[in-house]
Amino acid sequence: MLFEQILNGLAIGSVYSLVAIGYTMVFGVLKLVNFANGSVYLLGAYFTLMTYFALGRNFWLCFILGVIGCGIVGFCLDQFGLKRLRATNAPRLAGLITTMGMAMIIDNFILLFFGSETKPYPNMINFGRIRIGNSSISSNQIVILGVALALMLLLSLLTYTTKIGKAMQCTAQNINATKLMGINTNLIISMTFILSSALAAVAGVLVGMYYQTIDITSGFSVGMKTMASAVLGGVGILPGAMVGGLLIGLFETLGATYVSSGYSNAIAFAILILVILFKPEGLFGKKTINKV
Amino acid sequence: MPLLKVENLVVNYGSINALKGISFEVNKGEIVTLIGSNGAGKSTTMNTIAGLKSPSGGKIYFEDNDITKLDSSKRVKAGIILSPEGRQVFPEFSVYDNLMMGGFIQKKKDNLVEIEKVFELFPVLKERKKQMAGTLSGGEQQMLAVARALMGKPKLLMLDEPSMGLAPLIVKEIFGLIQRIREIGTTVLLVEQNARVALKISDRAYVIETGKIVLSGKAQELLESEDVQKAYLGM
Ligand SMILES: Nc1ncnc2c1ncn2[C@@H]1O[C@H](COP(=O)(O)OP(=O)(O)OP(=O)(O)O)[C@@H](O)[C@H]1O
Ligand SMILES: [Mg+2]
Repeated sequence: MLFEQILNGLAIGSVYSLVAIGYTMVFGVLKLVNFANGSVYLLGAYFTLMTYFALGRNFWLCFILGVIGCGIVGFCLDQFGLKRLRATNAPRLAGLITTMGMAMIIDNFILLFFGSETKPYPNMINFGRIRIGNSSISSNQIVILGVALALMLLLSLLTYTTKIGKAMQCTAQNINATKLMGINTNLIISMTFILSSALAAVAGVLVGMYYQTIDITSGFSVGMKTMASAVLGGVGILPGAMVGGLLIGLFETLGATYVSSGYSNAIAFAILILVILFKPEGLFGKKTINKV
Repeated sequence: MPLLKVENLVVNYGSINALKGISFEVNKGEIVTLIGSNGAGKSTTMNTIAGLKSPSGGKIYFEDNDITKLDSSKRVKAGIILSPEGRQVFPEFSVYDNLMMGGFIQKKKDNLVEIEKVFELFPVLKERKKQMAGTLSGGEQQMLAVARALMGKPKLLMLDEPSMGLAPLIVKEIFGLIQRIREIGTTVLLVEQNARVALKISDRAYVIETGKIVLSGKAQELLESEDVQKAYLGM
């Protein structure tokens, strides 16, 4: 029982990690919370659902289309919204409000297009349950954990071992100095948005399959929980977002089992508040060293 | 043909008119210094040439090409590299990684050759190559900033107050280095509060006052000019 709950928690948590990584990456390069991230997550889920029925139930094709589609949406978010603000040196608050506006546009687009009622989400890949001792693990959980962990690994490799990853890290540390290295920071920022939105879409589909239903409000709730995950790990820190997501998933699942399932949002918020009060730099955050 | 030619450059920050139409040139192989008091517009000039700030008027030519509207990353590729005011190293990267970022646009193979040359100029950095840049002393960070700029193999190296906050002995060392950098074929545009020392190693200089060039000439002549002595050399 406990083992199964832990597995459940890790599965859902690994998905939270994916979304949290998106918050953290964008925050890293722009020092801005992208409130549209939760909406892109939802859009990914709906869009994949739509193509799944439209394109003859080919899961992987639709999954990839959904992810690419959301990557494009992320690109547009920056290109048509935030990039102009950067060019005119607008205050950060303007960017924040812009992402909220984008979130509203996406949410309402979803409402208009897909309606407000809760929809069943097909379990698009199902190969039964696998028994381990006297517990068992579902194919869903395997796919979720496998996809999420593989993506996290890939993303870590990208960030820490490639030139583009180094450029992203530099942009996060000092954007002007990064420009002086001959790096096109607008390109790096675009890429960050594409990546974070694609990750959100992956998460949307995985969670849809996990709960087997989808509705318009889940974007906000997942948005909040994943933001809590990013803060818990330390905003702007990649491994922090990964661990933060896993922890929030675990707390939520265990809380739902041993306390009450109604509290899952409350648990996330309680953690968020505790972290902000007692360790605002997050689990992985270091006190910044910055000599002047 | 001058390497860099700035024509009637006007730069505003909102309603603040920081540069009011300045013109000057830098020839290949020269060390040219911009001097002026605080807030005169020296850093603004450098940042605008590097492409961090866009001008509201005027033109910038590099090797006879109009680069006024070029993106900063393309200017770096063209060979214009700025070591900005206040060091601005990447604090969470090691010295080695900072230097490698300086050579971002070069091939890794070339960087490995270049970094050895840079270590020869700055032996301190070699000793500390694994240390995080944010934990270096101010002077070491300043050297790292200059060294990082060199990694990009500049044709025109722009140094914005490379001696800021450094001990007199280190200042001497930095100026010695600037001369050596010129000897290996790099043109240098320098901004300095330390006008006397800067003029001593420069070929020519321009004096900027509240966004305008008020005086220019051979460095030696400016060193001897009474106006300059009074205003900038504290005599
Ligand atoms: N980002 C900015 N926003 C508004 N005003 C600015 C900005 N940067 C510079 N200024 C103003 O432009 C003028 C020129 O500044 P600049 O930094 O070029 O001076 P400087 O000659 O480099 O001075 P210092 O010797 O103190 O470094 C100053 O009046 C300054 O207040
Ligand atoms: Mg300055």
